[in-house]
Amino acid sequence: MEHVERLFRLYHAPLVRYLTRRLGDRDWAEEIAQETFLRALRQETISSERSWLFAVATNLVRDDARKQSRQRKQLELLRVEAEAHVSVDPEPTSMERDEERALARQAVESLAEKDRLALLMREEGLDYDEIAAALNITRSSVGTTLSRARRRLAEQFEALQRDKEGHGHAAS
Amino acid sequence: MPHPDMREFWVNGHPAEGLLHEWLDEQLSVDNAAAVESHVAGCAECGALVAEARGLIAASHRILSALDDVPANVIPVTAEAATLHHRVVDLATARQSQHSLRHARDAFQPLRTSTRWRQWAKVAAVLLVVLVPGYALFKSDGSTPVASEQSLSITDSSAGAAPSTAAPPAGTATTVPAPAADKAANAVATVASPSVPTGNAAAKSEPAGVSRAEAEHVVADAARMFASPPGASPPAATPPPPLPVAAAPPPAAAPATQPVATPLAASPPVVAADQVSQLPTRSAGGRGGGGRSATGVVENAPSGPVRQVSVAPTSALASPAVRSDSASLAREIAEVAKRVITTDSTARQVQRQRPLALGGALRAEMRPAIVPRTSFDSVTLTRTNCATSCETVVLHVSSLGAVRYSVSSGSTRPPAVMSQLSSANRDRISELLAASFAEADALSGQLRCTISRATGSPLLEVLITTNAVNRTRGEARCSTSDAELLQLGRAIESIVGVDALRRRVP
Repeated sequence: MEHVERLFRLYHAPLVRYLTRRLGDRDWAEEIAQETFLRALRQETISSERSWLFAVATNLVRDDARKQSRQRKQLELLRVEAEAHVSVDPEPTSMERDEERALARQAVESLAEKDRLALLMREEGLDYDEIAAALNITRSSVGTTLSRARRRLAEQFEALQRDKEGHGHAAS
Repeated sequence: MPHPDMREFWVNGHPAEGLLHEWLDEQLSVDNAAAVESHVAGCAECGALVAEARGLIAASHRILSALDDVPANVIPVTAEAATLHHRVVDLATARQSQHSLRHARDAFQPLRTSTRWRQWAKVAAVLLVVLVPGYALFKSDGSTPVASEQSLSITDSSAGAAPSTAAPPAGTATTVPAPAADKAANAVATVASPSVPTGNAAAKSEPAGVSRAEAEHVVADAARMFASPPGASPPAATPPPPLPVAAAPPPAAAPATQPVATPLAASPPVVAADQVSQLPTRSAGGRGGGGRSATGVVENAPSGPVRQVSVAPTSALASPAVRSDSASLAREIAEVAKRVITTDSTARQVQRQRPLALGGALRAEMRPAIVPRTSFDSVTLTRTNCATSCETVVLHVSSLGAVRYSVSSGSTRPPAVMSQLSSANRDRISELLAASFAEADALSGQLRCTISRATGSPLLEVLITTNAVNRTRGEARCSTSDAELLQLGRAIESIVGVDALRRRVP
């Protein structure tokens, strides 16, 4: 238990952030993270902790995608229930931030799965060995994967921005 | 010369793009890094590629950071009761005790739809007003009373026990069940001593800093509120005279019990947990008399203050596991009720939308109650020498409520619309950031406040994205010293202030 608690303290925040970026839903990310740590609790020994956690979380996301509709329906019910008790209006976000987030989401989704996961894991501080272990790829290919992912992400984001501005000008 | 292992990553004498990223990510060995570095220093083409790669890394970081702005699970304290209600019900469910489940639901169902904290307070009062004297007795007597739980003055017709109508005379020794005393001790320890480990995972969620005196004060308040319904006379300040307690014969299958003389004879009579909802009437009206034994009503309960002991029905007593569940559930309920009372009476608390099976213990421990304070707890510098060349100053703040906003400054992005900071304060912070990074270290600065998912503490973060393009590997990417960054954090603290950050929570 202490071992898992230490893992939780160390890796819960980055794992949830990774999953949130991956899924675009913090509730869902929390669920996956929870399940990941539950599995860690059942695991007797974990050699490479961080890569193990991220790999398990990634696999859980894959598995979860199969039952996504059911899961999201349940989450929606929970959210509605929770919102019924929330008496503080959610923080209004600016249109600019909303648009930027939407573009970022689109750009990230445009990446290949392996590129996206490698990039998200790297953002959470995983080193190349850990990324390779988590994604089951060779260590030597991580650099290439990341460089391709970064370039693709930046180019896609810029393209989406240009499209948006083009539409904006056309509309005006 | 490239290392033999890395030759495949050199194309026509130049490092491949992936290798450059690996170098920038500081993932190369010393030898390979030195080879790449020496090559880049003398190759304009590769130098340009490195600059581009740095830009891509920074851009990726910025784009991915935009994904973080998703609604957080931050809800005000008014949702606490509902959350904890689910927690208790879940607890009962997990223990697969139909009886416990029914009682938990019965006890808490009304609380969901009515004014929450008063209802919880009543439950707490019922439990605690009974258990505290029991505990005191337990402590003062110095010995563990010996009796079986079946000797309580509660009868259950389903077990075929005949209700007793013969009340012992005043001052007569009565029996105290050992399990009940244990429950009392445990519950009081749970309530009054948050730091006491109980072995129950939920006990770890006790907010730190709640003293025994505070807990007792809360209990006393709750007891007064409970015992003094509108129109009722206040309870006497002096202890009530010794009251007889109805003695029910033990079930036939129960072992013979040895009554032990204890000061409980001077305590109010015992009432079953089932009768929580009836206690105010009994207490206020002082009515005694018989009741329905099947539902655990006190037999021949005399007038006067009423004590209550959480007790399982006779049918459940046959199972030690269920008995244990009931005691544990009682502790849980007492803890939950105390938390709600404490929260409502002292502070706002940020709570997750729903408890998590594993996180329930871990997260709760790491999410202490947030008590409003007038200053930041600390200013801690975190230098994040990440691949995206950012420096982060983190101010740990424990006094914020449901706060989640950000403000950006600098030349690359216009300030975002903020709800909490005034435009004047935003400008002042922007000036501070600009002045602190006058050497064009910083491409942009961002101030944001979030609830840390790891610790539960609100954080005020100053994220500085530095310009590392023209800097070679090995140099500090941000030339601002730690002391200067800390000073910056303090300066921002003085501008922002805790009150300005605290969001309205009704």
